[in-house]
Amino acid sequence: MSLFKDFSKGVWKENPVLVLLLGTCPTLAVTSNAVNGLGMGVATACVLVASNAAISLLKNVVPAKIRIPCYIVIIAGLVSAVDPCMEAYAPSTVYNALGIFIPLIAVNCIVLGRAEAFASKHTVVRSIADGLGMGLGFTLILVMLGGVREFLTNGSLFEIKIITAWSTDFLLPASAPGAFIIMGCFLAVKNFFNIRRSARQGKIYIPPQGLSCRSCRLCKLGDD
Amino acid sequence: MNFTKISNIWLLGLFLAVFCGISGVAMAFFAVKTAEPIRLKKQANIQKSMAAILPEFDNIPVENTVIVKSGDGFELKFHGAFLKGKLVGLAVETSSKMGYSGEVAGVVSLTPEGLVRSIAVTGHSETPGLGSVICDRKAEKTIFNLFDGSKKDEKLPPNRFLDWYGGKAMPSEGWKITKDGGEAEYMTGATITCRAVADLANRAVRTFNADRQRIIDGVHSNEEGKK
Repeated sequence: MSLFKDFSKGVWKENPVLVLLLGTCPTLAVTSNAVNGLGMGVATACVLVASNAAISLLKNVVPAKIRIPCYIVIIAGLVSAVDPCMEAYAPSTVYNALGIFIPLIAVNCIVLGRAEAFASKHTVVRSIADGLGMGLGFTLILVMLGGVREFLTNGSLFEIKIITAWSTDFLLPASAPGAFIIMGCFLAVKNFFNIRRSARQGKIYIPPQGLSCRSCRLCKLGDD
Repeated sequence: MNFTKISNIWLLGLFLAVFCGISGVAMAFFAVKTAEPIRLKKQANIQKSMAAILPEFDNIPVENTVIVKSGDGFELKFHGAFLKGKLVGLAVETSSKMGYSGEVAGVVSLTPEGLVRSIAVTGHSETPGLGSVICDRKAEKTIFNLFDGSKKDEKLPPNRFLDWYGGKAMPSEGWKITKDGGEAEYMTGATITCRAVADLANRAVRTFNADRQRIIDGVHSNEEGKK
């Protein structure tokens, strides 16, 4: 049961984009259409699962004081190894769709964030479940964001034109400011649902414990 | 093995160095292992786009090559396409360093007179959705032709940025995008990629014009040597 919780929290309760607000840069930059969002999401999910597993295995080997640089080496190494393997052996349609995002993942905060917050404290199996859930949550939001932006710009979804006569002169949703505006709407909807659900139960909405700055150990590297 | 409690700065440095070394070796292993399949795949990709942008031919253009160095130090490969022993077109493998993220490689199809027939970009890492719109040829799908299956296997999907160069002769100072005072099509948000494509076309045509007789003689003698 707790394994399922590790998986499902990434999709809604601790969604990496909407709640943790990690990896905002690739989220906004890449989601100009739904296909890109799907590509980036799937590629990130794969790296996230692999890096969570690797870091969870090595958590008792790496010195605590230099764990962050070691994690970055693991993640960057994984990404640089996966990239040429995919280029060489994956079907070219898959690589053409995903390959361009793979180098971007090395600097994605979600991967390092999950390594530090989850994989370095839990077993391999639970870390893999966490990686899968976070990857799925990331992919879902990226596809939705990309879909909305693509539809508003082109009248198309997944590069298939739904409204053929839609003009492409309105570029705001496809550009960076439009991405911020639409993501803001997404956050508002998410918070609206959270607050309303808490209000129905007669409570005040409190964000999940462990997500606030106070419980983060990153700034305390020198103390421990 | 338990290194978690190490706090000596030199030991930490040593650990990190060894750790980086191991991952470096692993990366090098994969890079060497995959170099050959990647090269073959790229070659196949270039051949495919070459076949799509050249007019009908009955020889093997990839094996009929004249290599020319351009004025600014690029190595261009000219491939001659023949139909019944007559030169019908040239495919120029070239590249531009003006891309937004790295090199933009492409094939420019020229008529024997030096007009651009068509351009295909074969390798780029431009931003998806912006720069990639300029470089990729993708058939536009609509919800209607998705079901009736019309024009499924079009040989060369149109791309107005690349097709703009078709049938045009290069102005003496080279093509420029409209933003820089020229005429070539460009798109807001992908200006740099459009410049790279113009640069690609300019280099192909300029090199061909500068060395036209030698290139044409070269591909002809290659073709005769094979018989």
